[in-house]
Amino acid sequence: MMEVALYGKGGIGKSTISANLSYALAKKGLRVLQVGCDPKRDSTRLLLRGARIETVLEYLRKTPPDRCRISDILHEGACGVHCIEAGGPEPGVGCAGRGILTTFELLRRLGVKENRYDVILYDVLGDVVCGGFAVPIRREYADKVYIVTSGEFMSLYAANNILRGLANFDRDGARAGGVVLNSRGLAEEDRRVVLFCEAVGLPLIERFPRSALFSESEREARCLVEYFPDSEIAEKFERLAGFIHEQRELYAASPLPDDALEERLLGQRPPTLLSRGKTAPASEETGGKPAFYSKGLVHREPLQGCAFSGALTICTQVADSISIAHGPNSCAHIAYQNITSTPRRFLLERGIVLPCQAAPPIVSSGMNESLMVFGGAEALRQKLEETLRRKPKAVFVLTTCPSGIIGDNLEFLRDHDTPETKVVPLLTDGNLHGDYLQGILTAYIDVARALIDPTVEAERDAVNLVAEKTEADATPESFENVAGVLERLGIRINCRFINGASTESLRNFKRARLNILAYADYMGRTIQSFLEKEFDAPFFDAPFPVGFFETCDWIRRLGAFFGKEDAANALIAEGRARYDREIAQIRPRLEGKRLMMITYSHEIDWILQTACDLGMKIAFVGILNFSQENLFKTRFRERIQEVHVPYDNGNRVADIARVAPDLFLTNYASIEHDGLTLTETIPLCPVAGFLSGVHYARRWSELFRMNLTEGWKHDEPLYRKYSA
Amino acid sequence: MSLCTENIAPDSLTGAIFAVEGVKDVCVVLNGPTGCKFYHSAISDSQYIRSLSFHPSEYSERFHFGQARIPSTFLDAHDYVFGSREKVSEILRVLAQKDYKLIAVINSPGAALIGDDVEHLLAGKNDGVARFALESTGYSGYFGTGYQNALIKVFDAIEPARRKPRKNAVNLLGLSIYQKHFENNRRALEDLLKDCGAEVIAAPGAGDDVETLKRIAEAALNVVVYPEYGRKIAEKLESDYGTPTLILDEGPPIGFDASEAFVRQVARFLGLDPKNAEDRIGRARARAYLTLARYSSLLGLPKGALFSIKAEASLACALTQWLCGYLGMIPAAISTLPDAESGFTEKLETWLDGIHCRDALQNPILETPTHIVFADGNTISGLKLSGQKCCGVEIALPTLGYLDVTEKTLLGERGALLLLEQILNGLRFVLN
Repeated sequence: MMEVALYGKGGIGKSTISANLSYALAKKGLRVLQVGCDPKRDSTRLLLRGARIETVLEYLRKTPPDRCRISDILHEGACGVHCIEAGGPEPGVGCAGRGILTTFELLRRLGVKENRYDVILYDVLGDVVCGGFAVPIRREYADKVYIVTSGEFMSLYAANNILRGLANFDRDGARAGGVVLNSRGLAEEDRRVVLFCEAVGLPLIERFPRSALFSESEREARCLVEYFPDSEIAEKFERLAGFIHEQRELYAASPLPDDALEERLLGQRPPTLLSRGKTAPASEETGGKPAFYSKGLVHREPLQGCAFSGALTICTQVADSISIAHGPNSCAHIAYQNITSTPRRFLLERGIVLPCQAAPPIVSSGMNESLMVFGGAEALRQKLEETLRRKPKAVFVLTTCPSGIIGDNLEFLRDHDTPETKVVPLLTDGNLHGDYLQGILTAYIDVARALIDPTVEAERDAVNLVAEKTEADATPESFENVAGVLERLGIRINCRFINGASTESLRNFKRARLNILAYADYMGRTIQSFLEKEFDAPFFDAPFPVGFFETCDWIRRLGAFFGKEDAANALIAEGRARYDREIAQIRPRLEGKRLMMITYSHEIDWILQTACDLGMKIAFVGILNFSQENLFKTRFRERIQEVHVPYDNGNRVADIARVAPDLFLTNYASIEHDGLTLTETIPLCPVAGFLSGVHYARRWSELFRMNLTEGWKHDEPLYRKYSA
Repeated sequence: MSLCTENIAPDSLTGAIFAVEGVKDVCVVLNGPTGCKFYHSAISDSQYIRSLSFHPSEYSERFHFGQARIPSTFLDAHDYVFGSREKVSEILRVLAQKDYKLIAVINSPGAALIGDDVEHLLAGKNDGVARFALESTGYSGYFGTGYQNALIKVFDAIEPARRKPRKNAVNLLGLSIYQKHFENNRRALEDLLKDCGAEVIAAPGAGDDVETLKRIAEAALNVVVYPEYGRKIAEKLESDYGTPTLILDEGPPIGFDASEAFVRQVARFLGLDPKNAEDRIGRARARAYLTLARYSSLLGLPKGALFSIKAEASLACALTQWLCGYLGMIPAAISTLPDAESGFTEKLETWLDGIHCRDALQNPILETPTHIVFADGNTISGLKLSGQKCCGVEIALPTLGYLDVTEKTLLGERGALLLLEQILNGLRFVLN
């Protein structure tokens, strides 16, 4: 069997050439299948006497995969030629290239090649040689590739592009058969095509003149070869069919660079590339709302996670909302599992059910193969209407990579609010708009813009808590500690932006007189900056405090801001008494012990202070680099014998052996690296409050008190023997 | 609570990834963004443990992002326009230095849309390492479809030799590393078959290495344990090697009755005597009898207790029959996972009709009062959120995170005893 791909720019007459060629091949007694690979779906029209057949993609849209049959999509045309049309979406929607991929996948699955054809001819649109339209020239398909062109420059430009596509597949092969000229009757057309053929090293294997015979036979919905069998043009087709069938010598694709193509065919010098700044300024630079970007995007790092998932994590924290994930179920599944991972652990470890995360209100639009081809906007509209019937206060619609890639137009979402429900589109497009953290930022910003009422007046003793980390283990306990302090100071929490907040509390966000960040990391600072700029939101200048000193300072200043100094001082005194009591108890067991620490955390004073207050020797601190910004600072620099910023984790084994600490602290322990050293893990996000460091020191003290050892660490040979 | 949604089940992408990750010496490359990678890497690493530490620096190579399993090409907006070829080529060069026996490149949904010819990049290597690409796993397809299509590609890539079937040798089909206690499920079935005088050649997707999978044609019979994940593979093996297929009448061997049916059906097919296996199950039944007699004499339970299930139709069918028929429990809500029709949905309907409980199939699992739920961790968590006083038995992923150190299984007689233990203790918590 021979597989032939005919490529050409749209409108150049390649379908007419293809149909006549198929007819001519069949006339030789060959079994021929023609597959139209053009959304215009008219490749086989002349072979089918003008009849329009159901395309593969239309068929797939309504037929369950297990019921697909080749006989349903295969139609017999003139001279016994079998015909299939791939079809495609309406212009401007969906993804035509994906349609070709889908069609070929179905043909493979249905075993079309096992049908004993002598020739399969693919008639392919060659305007855009993307991955989809390039499928027919993949090595498992076309044995020979031909290009149909006129002498117009754009047609030759498309021809050259087709060769570039072919060259990408054929680094060391030769499958180009030649060029067919379908003349438009232009001046110097022939010369230009000959020049092109010489330049790319391909033969011009046939010339078809502009002729009324074509239009006459087309009017009768017949192939010219059938309708004017004795014409000179019919003879040319038969000759071409014979040539292609017999052709043994094929050519490597040698496309020209664009500049050379223009120079060769138009005799023009390549255009000068305008340098940046000489063009008109982009509208984004002159107006619009300010943009906020994640650190990964700013520093052009590989994207970690996707914006869709990050945004969904935040949106599901709005208590009376539903989020629609517009994409395939895999996206909704992955995001759902990500959001529920913390509550599952909390249920097991602490018996706590986290209300917003345990069964987050997420529905998937369930984009399938058909929607990938034809566009998913209509399916989304239906899903939205179904969701609105449940009367949530807000519906967030988040988009995934596939919906972004196929370019679904979701403008209609902006006009879908109901009296009960605000519809908020978040066009994250999977990771097309950035990483997980960008998604979080996008959600904070879009939710705020959609729901916060900027006209609400502030109340005297109310605060918002901003940007708590919903995935962090420490979040519930930190909140409890902070809420406890605020209660003692007589300060009301107005809104947790956004952690279980209702749409009502978000609407009244501005009732708070002060906003308190949970973390002053890049994310927290960016959200703060956004809320300050767009909502004029005043922020306290310290995030949730971690450690004794920080907590004392935080309460003192917060008390001063709200005029509640006495209550603040009383709280600090209680905290100090408890802290001192704990330190006094633990100190005898830890005094003089040598501490080594290698950590991703850049703020470690909460634990260094506890260690210093316990009289421990801080022998070594290594700060690992996990981001582009170095936030490491310490009040205890003089107390640390060795500091390495940034630290190279490759030195870990040697440094542990050299320093020989009594206690080694790290975020991730490794039996292979840390050996028998007494190793303890510390969290990346510690719990806020007076006793953050003491909590861990209590554990160390117990370990030293009993001089515990870990016998299991000696079983490594057994592990290698039985389990590795 | 009314706005909450049930657990969103994995689709064909996840099915495909875990099918191939279930081969011991494989490297699955996800040609896609890290958003599709992190979750699959984490679950694969926790289910089928092949590394000792979580420290990100131990997997700091460019494509690993601190995780042991499933390196990815971290596609971004640029790659969706210009193609992924360079990154795929680069990762393949890196992997060629390692000791994998099979390399599979699986496209994410986005990568599948752009249509890069990944298969072409994998072709032409002659180093004894099998390679293949899954250019599209489908969109929103069934987990089982993705799972089986991927395993079929594995067989196409490794080309198992045609061999004369060994007498009394079987393959177990439909097991997966995505199943709770997958290793011991397999072991439990192997032990039962061994008692009958049969041996297991391979259980594709459940931890076998490439060499073992290449011996797949040595089996005289393919036993489809889960039809949702094994029927199509069986058809493929039957077509390629002529190995006959046995689909278990009672579904996966969960509970005593289905376990007995399993050994009898396989033994009958192979002409073996199931007596030893029946004795093994009989001893477990005796142990259960003692416990149940004392438990029910004191509490009157478990008879009459309500139960709910969320599982594959085949498993739900077998488990429902056992809970009703052996323990006298009452079905409250039974929810089957989305999957290609296995024949068991109808079987379950008919059976429930017979005990006048067909409504259980329509009852929403998160909102229907129950005493014990057999499901994934999210469903159990969702029931707690809805304020129900019930206990949960994890029979599927995702897990709540309990670390199983002793060897546990859901299948065979040992699985029946484990389930019984959890039911009896769970009901004490709920009903006292």
